Parts: sequence; C-alpha cells; structure tokens
Amino acid sequence: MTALLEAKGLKVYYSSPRGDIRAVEDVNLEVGEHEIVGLAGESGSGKSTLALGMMRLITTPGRVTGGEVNFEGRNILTIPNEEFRKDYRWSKMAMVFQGSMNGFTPVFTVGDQIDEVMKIHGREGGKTAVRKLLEMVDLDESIGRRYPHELSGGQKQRAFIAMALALEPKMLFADEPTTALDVITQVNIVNLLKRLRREMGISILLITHDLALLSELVDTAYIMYSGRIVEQGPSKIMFTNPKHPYTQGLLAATPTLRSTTIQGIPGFMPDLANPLNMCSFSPRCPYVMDRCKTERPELKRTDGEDVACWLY
Amino acid sequence: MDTGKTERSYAREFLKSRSGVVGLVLLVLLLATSLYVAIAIPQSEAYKWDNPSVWTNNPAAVPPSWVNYFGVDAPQTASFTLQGWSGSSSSSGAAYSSSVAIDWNHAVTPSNIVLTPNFSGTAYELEVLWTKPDGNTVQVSLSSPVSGTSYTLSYTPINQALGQYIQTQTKSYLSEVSPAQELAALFNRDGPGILNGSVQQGSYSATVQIVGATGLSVSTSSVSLVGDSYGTMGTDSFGRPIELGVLAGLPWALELGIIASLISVIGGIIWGGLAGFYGGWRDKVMSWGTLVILAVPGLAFIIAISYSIQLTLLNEALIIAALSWPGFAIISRTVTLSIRAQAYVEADRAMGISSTRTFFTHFLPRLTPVTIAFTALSISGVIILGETLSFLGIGPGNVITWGGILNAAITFDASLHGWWWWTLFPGIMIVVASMPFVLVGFALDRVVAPRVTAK
Repeated sequence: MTALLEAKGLKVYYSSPRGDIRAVEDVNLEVGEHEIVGLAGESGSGKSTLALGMMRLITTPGRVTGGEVNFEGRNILTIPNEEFRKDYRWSKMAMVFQGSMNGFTPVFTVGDQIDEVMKIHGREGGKTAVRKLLEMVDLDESIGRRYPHELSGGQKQRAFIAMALALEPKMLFADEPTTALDVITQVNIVNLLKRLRREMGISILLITHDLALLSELVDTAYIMYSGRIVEQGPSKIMFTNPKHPYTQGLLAATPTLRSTTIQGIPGFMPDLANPLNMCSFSPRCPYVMDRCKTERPELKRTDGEDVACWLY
Repeated sequence: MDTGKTERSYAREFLKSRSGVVGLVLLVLLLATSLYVAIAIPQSEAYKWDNPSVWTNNPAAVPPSWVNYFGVDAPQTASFTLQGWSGSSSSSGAAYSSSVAIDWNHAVTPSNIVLTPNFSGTAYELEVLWTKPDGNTVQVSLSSPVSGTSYTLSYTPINQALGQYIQTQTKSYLSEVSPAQELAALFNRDGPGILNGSVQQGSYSATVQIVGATGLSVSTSSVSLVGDSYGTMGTDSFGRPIELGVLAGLPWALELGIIASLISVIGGIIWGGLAGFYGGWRDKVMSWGTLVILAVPGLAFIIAISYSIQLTLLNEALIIAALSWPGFAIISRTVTLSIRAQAYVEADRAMGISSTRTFFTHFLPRLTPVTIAFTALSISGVIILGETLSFLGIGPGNVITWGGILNAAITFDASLHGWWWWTLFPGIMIVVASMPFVLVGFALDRVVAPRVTAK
C-alpha cells in the first residue's frame, strides 16, 4: 500500500517567551489509500498541531521548523501559497475540526455555506449538489435552508462533514469529530465515517483521545506523547496487547460499564519548552529504569508494532 | 427563512426598546428643526450675531415673555406709530407735530424708550413733550436730528434733559443719571421721592414736534417702549434673542457631531479591524500607532492647534476625529481577534477561501452593526466636546454656538445678575441635542450585542 499522505521527521514549534514549545518533534506518520488512521494522546500531546501541520494550517506563533509532508508523493510544504490554496485545500484534503459545530458562520444558512465552498473551487454547486451531500450524511435537504443555530450539535457535525465532502477530497482529517456529542450521536458519526471510507474510498486521519472509538474504527493507530509518537501499529494488535506503559495507562484509564474506579496516570506531561535527553514519559512511568532517565528510546519493531520504550 | 429576516428582526428588536423609540422621535424632531433652521435662518443672520448695533432696539438681558404667566409683571415691547402729522412747510420754514396716546398699566417701567423719527429734508430741532397721567410734562429737545436714527435713553441730550427734570423734583444735585433713573423720571409719581416712587398707571401721551427748513416733510415715525421680557427665551445683555442663538446653534452642533463621529468611528473600526485581521508585525505597528494617538491629551492638543490655524467646522471635525478614533480601533481590534479565533474562520482557511473574502463575509458583517451603534453613541460626545471648545473660546468663527453663548454669559456675569435664561436654554439644548444619539445608540447597542443583555 503506497502512502497517500506521509509526514517525515515533521517538527512544529510554537514561539513563546520561554523559548520554543516543541509541540511536534520528529514525527513520522503514514496514511495509506482507503485507510483510517487513528492518532491518540492526552490533551496537549500535539495531536491537533500535527494534523494542522500536515494540512499546512499552522499560524503564528507556530511554525514548521523541519521535515516534510508528502501528499501523493509531492512535498506540500514547498507548494506556492496560491496554488496550494486553489488545488489542495478542501479539494484534496479537507478537515472536520475540533468543535466543527462552530465551523459554520452563524449568519448564513448551512446550504449557502456548502454551496459557497463548491463555487469558490470552481465546482458547479447548486441546490441539487447540496441536497446530495446532505443525503450522504443522512440529513434531510431542509437542513440546507436552516441557520446553524437551528440545528442540533450532531446535525451540525454531520452537516460539516457534508461540507468537508463537498469537493470529494481524497484525505479527510477528523480532529475529535465526536467530542461534545452524546454517545448515540457518536456512534452515528463513527458509522458515517466507516461508510464514507467504504463508499467513497476516502482516507481518514482520526484524532481523538477516545480509545474505545479508536479501536472500533481505525486500521492503524498512533499514540502520541509530548510531541512524539511512542507507539504505532495495527489497532488489532495494539488494543489487545498494548506495549508502551503510556498506552497501557491510557487503556486502563478508559471507563467501562463494570469498572467501579477509573485508573489514571499520575503526574503531568513535561514542559515542552525544555528538550529532554531522556524518555519524556519516565517521570510518570511505573516501570522506570535508570536508562530511561539518561537516554531517549527510539521506535523499535516489536511484535508487529513500533514502540519507543526501553522495556523492549 | 428569507434574507430580509435579520434586518427586520433588528428593527423589531430596536422598537421594543422604549428609550430607543423616544430617542428616535427626538432625533427626527431635531433633524427637522435643524433643516428648518438651515432654511429659515441664513448665514447672513448668523453674521449679525456679533454686531451689537443690530440689537440696540431689543431689550437687553430680559427674561422670556412667558414669565408673565408666573406672576411676574414683565411687559413686552410696545411700539406706537406717530402719524397724522399736522403742520406745514412754508417759505420761512417747516414745523410738524404728532401725538400718540400710550396706555401703561404695569407696576414696572419699560426697560428703554426708543424714538425713531423719519423725515426728508433738513430738521433743526425735534421736541418731545411727555405727558404723564397726572398731567405733569417732561420736555426733551434734540437739535439736528437725523432721520432713521433710533434715539434711546442713553443719547446724551435726552440723558441730560431727564437729569435736569429729576433735579427739579428732588431739589438735589445728581452727577450722573442711569437709564433706570431716566425711566423713573418718565414714569414715576413726581415729587422729591421720584426716584423711589411707584409707577403711574394710566394714559400717557407723547407729542413730537419737528422744526426744520423749507421742504421738510415727515413720514411715519415711531416710539417704542422697550419691554421687560422678550420672545420665548429672553435676551442677553446685548439684546440678542437667545432663541435665535439656540436655533442657529443646532445645525452646527449636529453637523460637527455627525461628521466627526462618522470619520472617527469608521476610520477607527477599519484601522483596528485590519490590525486584528492581519495580526503579526502589522498588528504590532498599527496597535502602537493607536496607542500613540490615544496618549495625546485631546483638549490640550486642540487648544494648542487652535492658535496656529483658523478653525472651521470641517477642520475642527477632522481634528476631533483624528484624536478620537483610537478607542474605536481598540474595540474593533478586540472584536476582530475574537472573530478570528472562531472555528469558522479557521475553517475558511482550511477550505482555501481567500482572506479578502473571509474579511468581507465574516468580519465586515459583524463589525457593521457595532459601527452604527458606536457612531450614534459617539455623536453626543463630539457635540459636547465641540460646545466645550466653544465655551473655552476655541471654535470656528462666524458660527453661533451654544458654548459660545455660555461663554458670553459667564463673561458678562449672567449668573451674578440672575439672568438664568441666558445659560439655561443653551445648556438644555446641549443636553437635548446629544441625548437622542445616546438613547438610540444604547438601543442599537442592545440590538447588535444581544448576548450582553440578560434575557
């Protein structure tokens, strides 16, 4: 399977008075054709920044300081602005945002906004096209005539997915598409994403901190911690046999119906402004060894997965 | 779900606010009055304002005539025409006389008497015989009268003649005679206490005789008893009617307020909006510029500048606008920054929508209502600032301003003399002219920022 989208040694830093915040550090990530890839990690681990970096949406004070992002074999970071805007944004790579329900302008109808994005990119648009898109996400065509505030959260989220599909992109970034939605709606959205992959052959990078969702949906999972990938592999293997202590901790912290207590991971993420020459998870790791505090582990092939941990 | 919905709902929301409706009604009234003034009082009238000789026939520093309804005896000006001149012109000379009966039923004297003879030819002498109700007469002679001149009590021969009359009554020497004493001589009961006596009420008569060279002919002349009250707003100490000043000051105040506010609000909103929209170093430079202007002490700056240039309505508006935009720029920048953080702006970027288009679709619609509300609110501030400047004696020449009237009132000690009408009406007008804009502005503010109001 050739990679549709590939990040190679990508680095994204944010400038701050304390020095650069290394939000994404040396990340390699691949999304194949028709593949759903999951990216998980706690808040502030750099998931969204990585996605924005791969979509070339980093704004000041952030900047991409190294690495490349290849889409269909071409490094998109070197494409001139105007060309990228016209030929790539939304037409090849679209995004469903964290809180996409606010992605609609309150002052225009949903249909007008979907229509607008099509027209801007030189597509025909029109009522029929909007209706088709809305049908694709199981929404009635009357939704198109409504203003965003007249829709429920789930409807808005789906309408936004419809807008993301308007230009038939090959790549869809879904940044926590189910956050702030109830469980039933979450399931609907997940099924919708599955169906899109099946029917449209779209590739999806799903960013979430909901591991249950991840295990349900994705082919390959990446676990991110303090700006780096700590474990990557097929989700079937990872979620039955997690290797990195952080992944284990995350899974243990997932609530289930039967559990009476939820186990958390003690401690906090290290300050990303200070580069550490050690495993950044070591202060919180239950299996910490002397080596963890002096040397950084690299990703290493272990049992069908890649893990960055000195335990393996 | 048509597009007219938002505009109509704005209007409905606005009409719900009672103060907004009151403000709107007042505003319409103000604009209508202003239009009327602009048509009815030409600029040439305004030029007369600073020419004292125009106003000599008006009573000086008298209250409005409606004080009579409140138990004050303040007669209004009464004019009498001298007509039916009897006499003739012959080869040896000419002599004419005319008489007029004047009923005076007030406990106070008038504030002045003005005699305006009209004739053609050469007059040697004009003689006035003033007969009081009790039959006593006062005689005044003017030599070489000039046709069309208004002779008042301050005219020296009249002053002297009346002074002598007083001395014959009081039997004591009087070095200087005031207008009030002259009036006492003409109206009070005679006797040693004439100056402190009471006014004789009843029928007076004035007989005017003009003697001149052959060929003299006399036309209608007049005697006026200048009253103790005037018009709806009284007069100042020059006899200028306050009502004229109050009306003439209205268009100026509105023009200044509207022009300066529009420039400063629109300029400030665009400046701050662009700063917030661009971000980065452009934002830094533009915000720094905003703060620099904000730090300029406005009043002191305008006072300083008024010494180097001649202020006109337009450049005063421009200077005020140039100093007052930073506040709006700061607010606009904040609003823009908050819009910029919205998901739909980020979405626009991801969708490859150009930033110009984003500015027009997302930013401008959100900034426009704010602009309208701020303009309305700002106008009152500018009006008050403009009047303040005029009050301080800094303002465009050749226009009548309420601040200028108040300035004159302070200069001529209106409050010390109890001339309340001189300060009251211009003062009220400053409030009245600025209030509707505040009311409308607040109502608009509530409409365009509904989230701020608790429901």
